[in-house]
Amino acid sequence: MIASLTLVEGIGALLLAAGLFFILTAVIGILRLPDFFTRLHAIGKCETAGLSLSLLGLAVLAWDPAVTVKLVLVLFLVFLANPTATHALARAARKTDVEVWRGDPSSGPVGDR
Amino acid sequence: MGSTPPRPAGGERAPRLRRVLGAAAFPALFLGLVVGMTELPEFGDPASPASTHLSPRFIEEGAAETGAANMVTAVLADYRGYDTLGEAAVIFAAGLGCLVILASGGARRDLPVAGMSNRFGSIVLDAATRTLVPVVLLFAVYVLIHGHYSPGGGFQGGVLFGSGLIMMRLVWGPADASPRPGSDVPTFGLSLRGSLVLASVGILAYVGIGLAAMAFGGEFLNYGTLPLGSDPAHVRELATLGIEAAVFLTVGGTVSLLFDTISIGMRENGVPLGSERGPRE
Repeated sequence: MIASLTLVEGIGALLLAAGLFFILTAVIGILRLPDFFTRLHAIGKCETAGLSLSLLGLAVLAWDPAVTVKLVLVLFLVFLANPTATHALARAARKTDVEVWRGDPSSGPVGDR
Repeated sequence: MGSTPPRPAGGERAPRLRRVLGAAAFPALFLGLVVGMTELPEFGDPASPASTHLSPRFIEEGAAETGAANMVTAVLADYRGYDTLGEAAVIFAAGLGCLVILASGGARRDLPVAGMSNRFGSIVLDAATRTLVPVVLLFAVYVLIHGHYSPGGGFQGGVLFGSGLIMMRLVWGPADASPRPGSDVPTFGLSLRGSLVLASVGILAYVGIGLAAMAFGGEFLNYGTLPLGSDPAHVRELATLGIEAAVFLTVGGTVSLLFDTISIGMRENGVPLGSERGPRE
């Protein structure tokens, strides 16, 4: 099965897998991190990376100019909009006094407290 | 928001005659509708007139008769143009309702946008908005025009258009503010009054196209008679685009109007908006 993959398909699949890894990281971050800001940190970075890599993988897999160009355009939009939205959320949270976690990072995972 | 805004005191009760008339009209209307409902064919009945006559006609003749490759557009904007006019009017009425209930005072004074007098105040948002808004507005027009051939059309494009307007408003403040501090070039954001005008122009254009068809000897909203060329399908295609553009204006204007009226209503009910707070640092 692996052997029957073309080079293009292999690159696309690798990119998709890398994207999924980052999305999984974002999910774990959302579940495990202690407060709004740290969770935002996790999802802001990992989701942008995960989504971008996934889109890039799909763009490679599609291998059709009409689809690939559209996906790359979506990629640019994600790259611009996602970090900006994260910034706006963090800023709004700061302005509305959302509590910042100041606990001890060495005291074990949050779920245990 | 810790506390709910104070509710406005209950208004005066309507005069007795109006209350009696209202109480009498409701059961009459209700009974009429119930009686009418019993006459309707069974829901989803394959032998009903809609299934035996209308649907096959739409499917078989739609593209040839209306010039719209997208069957949904052919049905919505042409065969059932009346329906769509009603939908656009409902959206417009909802916008007017918000205006009257939430912001009747603000609209008369033409407040730019209450609570948005300070820009959101972030260079990141400012830069991103300046890059994104033109793309969003352009894409809205693309969705409108391409509705003939692919999913899209006036409603979807209008919502995108309204979102672009709201984005400018959120980040840059009122319509007459400048995107750059210290520059006097205004944004292209719409004022509340501008949104209202845009939405009204949309509805009027829709009705106007319908009336124009009547003026040239057809029925209301039967575009075939409009003097736009010799190919009937092409004429209908152009008229459908006109209808979609009218819906686009109505929806875009109303979405922007809703945002304005809600923010004015929040201000007048004492709900603090984010941009009124200074940075905490």
